Amino acid sequence: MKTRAILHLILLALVSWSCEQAPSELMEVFVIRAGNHYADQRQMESLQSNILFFKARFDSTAIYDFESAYWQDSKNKLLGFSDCNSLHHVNSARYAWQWNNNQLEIYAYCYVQGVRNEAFLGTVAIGETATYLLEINPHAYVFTFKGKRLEIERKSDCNVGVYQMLWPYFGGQIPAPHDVRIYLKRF
Amino acid sequence: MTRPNHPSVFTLLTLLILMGPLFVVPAKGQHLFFAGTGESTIQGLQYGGAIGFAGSKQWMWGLFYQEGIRTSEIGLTNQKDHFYGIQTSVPLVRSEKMTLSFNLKGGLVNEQFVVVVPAVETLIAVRHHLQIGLGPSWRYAHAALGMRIIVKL
Repeated sequence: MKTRAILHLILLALVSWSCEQAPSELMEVFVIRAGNHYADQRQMESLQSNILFFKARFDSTAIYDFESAYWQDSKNKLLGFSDCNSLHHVNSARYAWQWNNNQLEIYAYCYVQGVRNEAFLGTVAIGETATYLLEINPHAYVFTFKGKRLEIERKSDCNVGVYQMLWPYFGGQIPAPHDVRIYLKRF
Repeated sequence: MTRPNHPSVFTLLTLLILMGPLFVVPAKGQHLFFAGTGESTIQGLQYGGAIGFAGSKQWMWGLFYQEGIRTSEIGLTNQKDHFYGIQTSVPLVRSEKMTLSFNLKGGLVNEQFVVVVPAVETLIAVRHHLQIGLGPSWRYAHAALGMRIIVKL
């Protein structure tokens, strides 16, 4: 009787594992509601690898018009992490995006010892699924996007600690003018 | 920024924690245990083991080690992750054969990333010296499923 119970338990575990969706099938939708900065899905997670690799897609909700060039040229954050035991405004690395010049622009966006450092990486089309790679090594944050590799110097001397994941954020200072949807698939 | 060759504080702490259970003399109703573990996460399966000490009311604390190979469709992240640290189990509901407990694991992934994993586990006593634990945990910002086979020493 006990043997059967054990076998059933093991079978249940195997079935549960086999039913889990493979990572390649998952694409999370992060919705930033009108008037908000953060997406509905606030998640607490720390980075567990020196590689952050994900795919992202934007739909037409990524198009917005602030009428002010200053606010239009304001980076929205896509995904990244704060560096070892640092606050994100001290040491962090993220991909950022903005709708500007009638196109969706992708940027590398870092804080290095409190100094903001951003660099244009390229553009994506609405509906296009692009891959984003962000590596952290002892000396640099390395962004790879559409074949373009960009290094931004890292100055944190901390190596072992918490690397807090940073999730989609609209702004800047101006919140989302309407609901914005971002589709993410992490690996 | 190169790693020092001498043992770091983390290495010494890890060794201390690893050796700790060996010096514990169990009282009545208490025991040492070791366990084989498996965890199905969104980043793939991880396997490992644990050793520790269980109190008379099913409180457990111990050390664990697990590893797994993360895979991706383009092979970029096919790297081995290893995760080790300390874990504790706090019983929430107990009966003679089953215990529902809250588990917390904390440690280092790849000797760099501090990670804390909360979990809920159902422990079933299938033999006097054998328990099976099964339950969900929270890993990589997603639900994971863990399993332990615990042997009392």
